[in-house]
Amino acid sequence: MSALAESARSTRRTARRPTPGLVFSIAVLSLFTAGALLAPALFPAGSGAQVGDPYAFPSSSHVLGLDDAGSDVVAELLWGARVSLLVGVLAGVMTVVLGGIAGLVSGYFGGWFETLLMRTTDFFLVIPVLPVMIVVAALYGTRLVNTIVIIGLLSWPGTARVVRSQAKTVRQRLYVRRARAMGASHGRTLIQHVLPQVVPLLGASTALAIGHAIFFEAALRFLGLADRSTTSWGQMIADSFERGAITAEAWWVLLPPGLAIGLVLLSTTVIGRQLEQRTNPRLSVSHLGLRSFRRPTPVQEAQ
Amino acid sequence: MFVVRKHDGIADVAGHVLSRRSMLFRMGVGGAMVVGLPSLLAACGDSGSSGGNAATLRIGLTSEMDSLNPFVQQSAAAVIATHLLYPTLLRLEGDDFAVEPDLADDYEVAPDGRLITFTLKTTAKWSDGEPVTARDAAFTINMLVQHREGAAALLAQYVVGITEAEATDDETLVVRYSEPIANATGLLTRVVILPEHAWSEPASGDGAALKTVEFNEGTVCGGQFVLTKYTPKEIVLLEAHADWYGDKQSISTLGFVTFGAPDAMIKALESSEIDAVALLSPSTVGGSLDQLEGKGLTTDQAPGFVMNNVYFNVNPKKTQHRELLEPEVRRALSMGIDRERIVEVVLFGMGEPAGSLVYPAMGDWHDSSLVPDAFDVDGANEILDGLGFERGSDGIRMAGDEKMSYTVNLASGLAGGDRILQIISDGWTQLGVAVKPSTLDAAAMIDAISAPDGKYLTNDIAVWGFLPASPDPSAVLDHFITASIGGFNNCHYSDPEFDRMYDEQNATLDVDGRRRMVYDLQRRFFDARAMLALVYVNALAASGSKLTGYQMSGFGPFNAVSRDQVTQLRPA
Amino acid sequence: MGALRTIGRRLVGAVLLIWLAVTFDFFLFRLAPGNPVDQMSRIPQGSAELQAQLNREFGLDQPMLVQYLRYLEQLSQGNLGVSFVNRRPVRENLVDALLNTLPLVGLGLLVAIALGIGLGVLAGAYRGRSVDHGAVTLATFMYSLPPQWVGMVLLFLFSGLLPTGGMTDQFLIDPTPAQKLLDVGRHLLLPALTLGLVMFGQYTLIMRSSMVETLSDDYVLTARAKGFRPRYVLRRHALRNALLPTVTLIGLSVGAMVGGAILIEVVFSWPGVGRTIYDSIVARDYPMMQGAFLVFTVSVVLFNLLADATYSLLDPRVRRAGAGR
Repeated sequence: MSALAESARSTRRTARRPTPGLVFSIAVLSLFTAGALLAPALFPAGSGAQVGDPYAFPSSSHVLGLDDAGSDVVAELLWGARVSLLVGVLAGVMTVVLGGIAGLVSGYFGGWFETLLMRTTDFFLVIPVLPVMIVVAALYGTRLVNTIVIIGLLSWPGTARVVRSQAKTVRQRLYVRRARAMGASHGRTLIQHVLPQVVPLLGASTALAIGHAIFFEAALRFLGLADRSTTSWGQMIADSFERGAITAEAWWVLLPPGLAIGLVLLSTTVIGRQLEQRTNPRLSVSHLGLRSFRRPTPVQEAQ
Repeated sequence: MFVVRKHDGIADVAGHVLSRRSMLFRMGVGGAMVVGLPSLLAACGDSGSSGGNAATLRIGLTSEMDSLNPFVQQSAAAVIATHLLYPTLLRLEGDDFAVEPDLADDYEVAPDGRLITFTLKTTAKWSDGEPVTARDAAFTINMLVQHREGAAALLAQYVVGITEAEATDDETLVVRYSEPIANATGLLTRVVILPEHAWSEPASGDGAALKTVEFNEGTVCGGQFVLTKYTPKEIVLLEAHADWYGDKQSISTLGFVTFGAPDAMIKALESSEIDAVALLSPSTVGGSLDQLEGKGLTTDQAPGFVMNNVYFNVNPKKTQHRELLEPEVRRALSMGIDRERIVEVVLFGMGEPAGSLVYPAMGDWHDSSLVPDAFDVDGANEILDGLGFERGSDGIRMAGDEKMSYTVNLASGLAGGDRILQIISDGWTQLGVAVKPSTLDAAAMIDAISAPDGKYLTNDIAVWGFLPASPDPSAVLDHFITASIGGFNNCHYSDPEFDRMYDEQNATLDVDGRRRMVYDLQRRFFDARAMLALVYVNALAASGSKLTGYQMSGFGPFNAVSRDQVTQLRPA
Repeated sequence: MGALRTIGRRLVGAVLLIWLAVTFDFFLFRLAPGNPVDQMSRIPQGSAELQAQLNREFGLDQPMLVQYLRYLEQLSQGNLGVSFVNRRPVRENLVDALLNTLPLVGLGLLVAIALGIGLGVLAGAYRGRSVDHGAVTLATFMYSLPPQWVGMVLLFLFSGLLPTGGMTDQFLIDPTPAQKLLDVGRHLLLPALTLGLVMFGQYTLIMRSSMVETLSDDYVLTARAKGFRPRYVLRRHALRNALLPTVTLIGLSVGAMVGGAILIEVVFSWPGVGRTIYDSIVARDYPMMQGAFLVFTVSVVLFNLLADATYSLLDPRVRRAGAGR
C-alpha cells in the first residue's frame, strides 16, 4: 500500500511514474479497442445475428448468453464497442478541435473575440444540453454522423473556456512576450510557443470529451433518437429496457453494456486527469479547492 | 463540460475539478451498501396501502393518459377510462364483438338504413341525481355532428353519415343518416353520452370550449363509475356509480397506474401492487407467457388488432427509385421478409405472420385464403433477375443508374422496430437490396412519409404499425382510400375502383353481401402489395390472483367498448 | 459602488442571455420536422379543414416572425401560453411537473450529499491510503454510469420491495398527511436513489480535494502543532472550511439536475419536468417545450448568479478583481 500512498503524496513522482490507476485505465481502453477492432474477425456474422433462442442463458459456447434477438451478447458488446468508441473518439476530437481553436485564439488575442466567445459559452451553458440534443436529433435525423456532430457541436464550449484560460496565462509568460518582441508573427508565436503549452490540456480534454460523448450517445439511444441499424452499448441498454430483459431476468444482457460504459468513462477520466497533472504540476492536489475549482475565475486570470 | 454530463449548466465547473484530481485505482469497493439495502426497505413493506381490498381493481399501463376529455384524448388508455365514466347507447361484447344493449334497451334500424330508433332505459341517472334521457343522447350526437370539422374532429369518425338526432320523448331517440352505414351501431358504441346540462355551455358557438373542459372530482358522470380523484398524468381513480343502470358489479374502486418500463409493470403485478395490465405488447414482455405463469400470474392471449407493416410509397409521381412502383418488385421484396422469424424473435412467438389488411381478429371479415408471402430468397431473386435488375460489383442490384439501396423510415415508437428492420435487412441483403434505416419519431415520420410538403415524392419505404379504433373492417380499409392521403394512407395508394368498392360495402347492410365486397377489397389491396402486412400482434392479458372473470378480447382485457370486462370480475 | 454596478451588469447580462435562449428555442422547435397539427389531425376522417382550424387555433397560420413577436409579448406579461396537447395552461402543467420533480431532486440530492460528503471526508482524512483510493475510484466509477442503466439495475434488484412506477398509491383513501408522505416516499426511493447514486461522485471528489487543501493549510497545521487530536482538528477546522466549496457546487448543480433527470423519470414514469420536456418534444407541443426550456434556462442562470454572489462573499480577491467574467 505504501507505494500507492507514496505516489499520491509525491506530486513529482506521480508526474514521472505511471500510477496503477493509469495502467489499469490504459489496459481497459486497450482491451475494448482491441475487441472492437477484432469484432469482424471474431464474429463475422455482424451484430444482431441470431444464433439461438432469445434470452438464452450463458453457456460454454456463449459465455454471456444471448440477448432479446437471440444474438451472442459478447458479439453485441464488441460490435457495440466499435460504434460507442467511434462516436466517442470522433465527437471527442471534434469537441476538442472546435473548443481548442476557439479557446486558443480568444485567449491569445483577447479583445472582442474573447468577449464573443465568453458570451457564446455562457449561452451554451444555460440551454439544457440533453433536451436540445433530443430536438436537434429529431431535426437532422438520427444517422450516426449526425449523432457525432450534435454531440461535438454542443460540447465544445467547456473545452474552449479551459483552453482560453491556459492560453491567457501562457501569453503573459516572459518567453512568449520575448518572442513577440523579437518579431515573431502572431501565427508563429501561437503555434510555436502557446500551442505546446496547451497541448497537454487538449489531450486531457480529449480523453474527457470521449467519455462525455459516449454518455450522450447512450442517452440519445435510450430515447430512441439514434440510428438503430448499428448497435452500440447505449442501444444494448435501450433494447434491454424496451424488450423486457428484466422480466426475463436476463442479467447477462442487462449488466454488460452499463459496466462497459462505466469502465471506459472511468478510464478516460483517469487518463485525462493524469495527462493534465503530469504536464502541469501547478495543478496538483494541494492547489485544489475553493480558489481554483471554478474556472475561469478572475483570480486565476490575473495570475 | 467534460465529465459533467448529466447537468449541463455547470459543465466547466466540475470538468475542472475532475481534470485536476489526482487519483489511484482500486476496484471492488462498494457493493456493500447496495446489498445491505433490501432488508431495510422491506421494513417499509406494504404499509399504508389499502390495495388489498378485494373490490379494488388496479390496472397497470405503460402509456400515459393524456386527458379524460373525449374531445382531446388520443391515448387508448384514456379512452378506456372515459368510457367507464359515461353511458353509451350500445356496447360490444365477447370474442366476436357482438352489439349489446347498454343505455339503449332496444333499437330498430329502418329497412333503408337511414334511420335508427333507440329505446332508452328510464332508470339511468347522472351522478348529480338528474335523469339520463334521450335528450342528452340527442344533444351529444348533434353536438358531434355540428362540430365534426372543428372541436369534435377526433370523434367525427363515429358519427359519420349522421345528419341529425332527435329525442321524440325522454326514452326515444331517433338518429337520421344521409346514407346507410353498415357499421352504424358499432360506431355508436364509441360515442359517450354527455349530460346536456353540464356540456351545453362549452358546446355553444364554435365549440372551442369543449376542449378545455376540465375533469375533476365534481365532474358529472353517469356511467359505470364516477371520478373520485384526478390529477393529470398522475392519478385517475374511479368509484362505482351507485345509480348505474347496468349489471351489479363487484368492483367498487378502479384506478390506473402508469409505468415507464413494461418490466416495472410486470414486477408490480408480481408483487400485487396492481391487479391486471391493459395494452401489454408482446415485444416488450421479454419472453413467453409461460414464464409469467411460472411467477404465479394468470395470463391469456388472443389474436389482436395491432399490426406491423411495410409501406411503399406508390405515388406515380415519386421522383426516385421508381422501380418500387412495380408490383412485382414489391412482391419480390415481400418474399425476402422472414415473417416467421419476426414472430419468433420480435414477438417472442405471440402473434402470426400477416397477409391481409383485415385482421383474423375481425373474425368472418378476414379472408384466410390470403396467405402471407413465404420467405423465399430464391424465388424473390428469380423475380428480380427476370426483371433485369443486375447485381453490381458490391452485390447490390442496379435499377437503371440507381442502386437498389433504400432509405427505410422506421417509427421509433414501434415496439421492437429495430429488430423488425434488422430481419428485413438480413433478408433483403440476400436479394441484393440494401437498407439504410432512418429512425424517426411519430411527428417526423408523418413529415418524412408525405415529404415534401404533403406531396409524397421522396419517401421510398416506411415501417410502422397501427391499431384501429373499431373491430369493423371499414376501420382499416378506410386507411387506403384516396381521401385518406395526407392521413393514414402512408402508401399514397389511390385506386378509384378500391374507393368505389369501399363506399359500396360501407353502405351495404346485408352482412353476407358486404362480406363478399370486403373479401374483394382485401384481395385487391393484397395483390397490389403497396403495403406489406408483416405480423398480427397478439393481445395479451396478465393478472394477479385477487380477481377472477377476466375476459379477453382482441383489444386486450380492458377495452373501451365492453362493460362486461369489468362487471364480470369477482373476488377470487 | 463597484459592487452594485457589477451586480447590475450581471443582471442585464442574465436577462439578455435568457432572451437569447428563448429566441434560440423558439426557432429551433419550429424548424424541427413534424408539427403538432399533422399529428393531431391524423385521425380517420381527419380533413384539411380540421388542419386549417387547428393551425388557426394554435396561431400557426401566422408568419413565423409574427408568432415570435406574439410569443415575446405573451412572455413579457408572464403568460406561457396553453399546451397544444391537453389544453391546460402551460404554467399549470409546469408547476405540477416541478412540484413532482422537486421531491425527486431533493431526496436524490440528499442521498448524493450524504454519500458524497461522507466518502469525500473519509478520502480526505485518509489521503493517500487505500480508503482514499477506494473512495475516489468508487466515486468516479458511479459517476461514469449511465443513469438509465443504474435505474434499471435498481429495478431489477428492488422491485417487489418498492413501488416501481408512478408517484403515489392512489388507493390510499383519505390518507393522513403522515401516510401520504410515507407513500410518496416509498415511490420516491428508487428514482431518488438512482439520482443520488449517479450524482454523488462529483461531491466526493470536490469534498475530498477541499479537505486535502484545508488539511494542509497553516491554521490546521498550527492546530495540530498545538497538540489538538486529529479527529478534533478534522471536525473543528478542516471539515467546516472544506464544506464551503462543496456547498457552492451543490447549489450550482441543482438547476442542471432538474434537466438531467429526464432519463430517470422515463425509467420510473415519474411525472416530472424531465418527462414533461420529453413528452412535449415528441408531441411537438411548442408552448410546453418553450415553457419547460425557459424554466430550465432561468434556473441555471439564477443558480449561476447565486454562485457568483456566494463566491464573491467567500473570497475577497474575487470581489477586488471586479467583473472578470
